[in-house]
Amino acid sequence: MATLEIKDLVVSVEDTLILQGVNLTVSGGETHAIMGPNGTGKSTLAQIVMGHPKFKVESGDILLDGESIIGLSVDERSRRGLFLAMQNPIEVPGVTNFDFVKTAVSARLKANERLRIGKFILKFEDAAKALNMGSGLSQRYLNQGFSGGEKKRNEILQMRLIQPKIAFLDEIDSGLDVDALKLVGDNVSKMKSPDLGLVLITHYERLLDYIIPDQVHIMIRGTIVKTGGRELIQKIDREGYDWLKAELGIDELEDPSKTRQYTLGSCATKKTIPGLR
Amino acid sequence: MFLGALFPKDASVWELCDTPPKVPGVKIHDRTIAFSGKKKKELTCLITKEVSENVIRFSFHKNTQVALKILLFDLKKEEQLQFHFRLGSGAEVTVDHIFLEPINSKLSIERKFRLKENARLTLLTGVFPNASFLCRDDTELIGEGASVDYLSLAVATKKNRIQIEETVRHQAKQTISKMQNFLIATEEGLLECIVAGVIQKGMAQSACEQANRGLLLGEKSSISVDPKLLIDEYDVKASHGAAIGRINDDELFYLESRGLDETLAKQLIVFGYLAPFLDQLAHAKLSDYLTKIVRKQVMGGAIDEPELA
Repeated sequence: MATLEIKDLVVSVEDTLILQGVNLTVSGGETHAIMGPNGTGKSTLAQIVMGHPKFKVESGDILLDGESIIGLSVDERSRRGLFLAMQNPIEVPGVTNFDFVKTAVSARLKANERLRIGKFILKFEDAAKALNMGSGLSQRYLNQGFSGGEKKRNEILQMRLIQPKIAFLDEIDSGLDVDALKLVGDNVSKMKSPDLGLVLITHYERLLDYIIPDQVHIMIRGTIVKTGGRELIQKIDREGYDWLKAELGIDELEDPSKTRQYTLGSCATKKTIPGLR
Repeated sequence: MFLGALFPKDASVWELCDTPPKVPGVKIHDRTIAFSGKKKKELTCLITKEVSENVIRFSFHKNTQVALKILLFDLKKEEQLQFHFRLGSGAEVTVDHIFLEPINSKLSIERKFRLKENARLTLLTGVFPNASFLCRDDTELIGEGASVDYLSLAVATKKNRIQIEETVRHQAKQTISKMQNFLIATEEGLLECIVAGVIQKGMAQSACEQANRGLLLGEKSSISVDPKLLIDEYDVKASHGAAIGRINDDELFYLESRGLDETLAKQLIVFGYLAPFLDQLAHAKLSDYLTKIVRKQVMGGAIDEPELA
């Protein structure tokens, strides 16, 4: 059973602090939901855990099974068991879905192991069928020409075949209709086991009707400000986040990290029009 | 010679300096290789350092159907080679024209294509010279209903400069041209591509389409594309464009987040980019061999000898 620990994580991008001391522990068998207003750092947290190079860790640590992964490359983190189902999966023309997933699964094998291709084909077809992806999926180019819903289902298909230890699902519900949401929810719920820790990043209650979280965290301004149970989801759905901001005395306009001072240089008009100062 | 493994010699494979191939419907006459007869022919022509002629002519008679592969390699002399292709009415011709390493750095190629009515040419050009190289094409669609489908891939490596100039002239009504260029520059490679579609006045209902894509893989590599349309007729369809860029960081992040290391992720992206070209090569072993050539040139990997069937 794997454990991911995020400790006092402070992260910046282009000299702006975007995570300001995040603490979170996720173990195998647990499901966590992270909610919060737009632009508070939820997706950023998932990308940082996965090792996106555009972010800089200023302080704090991320530990997987007690070992820091801050210095590891993106692919090493993945092979150690981390997974990120992305909000906007990238299209890669010319690379078939099947070849991609096969390569990803093969990348996890030990030196003396070989992928049994027959078994893998059956697994792939099972997963595609379970996610209602259609029979031609394997030969379609990776995410190219996929609808928004197909892209999200394809992320879950990859997760099912890669079998990570800790998975972040970043707004996996966006772009899904009601039926597709139920399908994705059911598929993810079936994957729940002591070998998988889940972190769901979402704005809406509806995904959490299908994938029941053990803990709900609310993130505002780059930090987790409240943790609770399912009652938090219902309250947010009813009342939004204003009650929490009021309770915590948060005024978004006061956030100094998001306020930048700009200088526009000297005024050319003042210089060219005599007498104007 | 290693390409022998790709193309074991038989009646349909010959080197240009050899005796003429004994294939029904193929004759070499007055320095011209002429194809005739309605039965579809598949032939491969190997051109090496022993080329004695500077102008090589191919003539495809009325209604002939030919799939021709022309491979140039190991050209060590300073050369200026010309290829003339003439397609008679209704001829359907596919030409895979591949320039392989090592080619002398001063080699330049000129190709002239002339198509009569309803002739159809599918031209696949692969430029992997591992040297500086100039290829200048001039295609004339002189008969009504003639069409050319032009797909090329060029890889510029090291400090080499590859220049490609393609001109298609629509000189009859209802003529169609489709030109697609895939360009890759690595290290300090320089690729310059000028593509021009010319539709003369009165050549109504013609269509000219150009698409150019460039992939920069070296910090100091450079690609420039100049897509031109010169149109003097209203009743036409035409489009042109060029997109040049490096591998997107988000694309890499996505692939790496599934456990692929950076080299493998880049390879997948590059070969995905090449897929439209490689998929059209009907010869599986040639496609595999070119894949290895590109892997060697682009990724610096080792290259194996092609395996015998």
